[in-house]
Amino acid sequence: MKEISIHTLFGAALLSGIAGILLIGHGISIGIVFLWLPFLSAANSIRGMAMYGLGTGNASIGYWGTAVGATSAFVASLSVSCRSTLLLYVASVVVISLVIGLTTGVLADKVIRMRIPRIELNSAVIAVSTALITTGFLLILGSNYGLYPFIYILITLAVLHPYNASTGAGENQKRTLMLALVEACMTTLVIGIVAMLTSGSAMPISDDVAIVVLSAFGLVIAVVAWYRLVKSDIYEIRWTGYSPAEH
Amino acid sequence: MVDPLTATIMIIAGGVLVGVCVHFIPASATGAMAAATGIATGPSMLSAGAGLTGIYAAAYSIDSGIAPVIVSGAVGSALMLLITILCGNIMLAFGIGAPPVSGQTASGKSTFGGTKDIITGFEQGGYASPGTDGHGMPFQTAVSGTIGALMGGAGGALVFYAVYSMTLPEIATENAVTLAGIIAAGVFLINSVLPAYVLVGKTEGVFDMKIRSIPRTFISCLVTSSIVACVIYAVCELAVFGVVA
Repeated sequence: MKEISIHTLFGAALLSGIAGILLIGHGISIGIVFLWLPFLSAANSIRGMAMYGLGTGNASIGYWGTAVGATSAFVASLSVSCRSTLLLYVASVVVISLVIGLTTGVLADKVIRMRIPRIELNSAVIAVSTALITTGFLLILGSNYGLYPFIYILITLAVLHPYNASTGAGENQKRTLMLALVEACMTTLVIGIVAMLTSGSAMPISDDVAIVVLSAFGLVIAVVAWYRLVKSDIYEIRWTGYSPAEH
Repeated sequence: MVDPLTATIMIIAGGVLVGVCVHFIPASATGAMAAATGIATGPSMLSAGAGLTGIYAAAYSIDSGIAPVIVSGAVGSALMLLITILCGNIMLAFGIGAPPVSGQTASGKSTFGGTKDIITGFEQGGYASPGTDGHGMPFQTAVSGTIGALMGGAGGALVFYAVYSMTLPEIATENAVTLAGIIAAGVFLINSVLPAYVLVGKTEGVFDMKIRSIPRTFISCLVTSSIVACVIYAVCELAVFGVVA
């Protein structure tokens, strides 16, 4: 089956992420569903890099990419009192994360000589995608600085885990991305619950409840779809009744 | 507090220190537990752990000036690493009966040559289990790791203090500490993963031949940290002058 290209997925994720942030910034909390696509894009790029056999493992690449993205978003949130100049905030987040992601990718390729095809493109995609997600979450949770490490860890796990869990013989993009969608829904669900429980949340509680309901709905659909894929993929190696030695 | 320009230089220096420190910290891949010398978490994860501990330690002395912050970060990080090494050695020695031995030294491929621990003089050859590249963390490796952790912790603390100095005029003290901490952690993670690519999953610290690839790490981390530092500087300056606030 033909795979979705990095460019297509990233283009869609970029537009979707920006749309999501703008909606959230204007008080429409359900715009968080538009942040699911950046999760898919980041997970796809981690797959693109890790499948060539990194010496550091999938976890490191996830931590690294999210560190670039989240740090860009945190740094940008420092100065721009972004609620008033939302477009400027989004633009600065995208530009900062793109520059740092691309630079680290080029360095890993040219100076460190990783020899992984399209490493600079993939690292830039991970950085921008995670930066968009972080920005959206920051707008929902408000200026609650104590939650910054939490946001970082949450996003990191959701983007690095899909390929890490699906890797091995028979791994394919469709199933990995579906697992990424499951984890994206799970992450927004947790963010919704945290926003409900946090007193300093930027949104009224009804908006937080909407996030939780929508994410739970998405989670159920994604889990069912993902489980179907797992079952259809595992069909070829399903137990036949014979032990391996006889088979 | 330091002025913004000095803080920018501190971020660059801290980032480079963090990158270089990874070469000193003994680590092997997770799958190579007891099959290669070093802590089996992978170099970047271990260095990041040591750095984060350093930043936590540094945060406790943030009001005492720059010197205590750096010392606190370095000592906190080194303590974390030494405790990890000690626990790892205890588990390996008493759990599965594998003595701490340097694989590179045992096979005569150490940076300084010979098959003896360069500090204690203990013979390494013959103690590595067949089919493995050493196990545990012998004395020389632990010393190398401690030096690395001291550098990493000091680097993390430098970044932390610099970001704190730059953000303090904008936001309240407790928020500045949190924000500086997470940004410092971000800089740490970016710089600690880059050298891990050079090390390809495993290093024994100074005594591993891979230490010779430090120049590549140095250049990469210098460029990355400079860009990150410039971005932080630009954003903070713009905020101070009210351009984008």
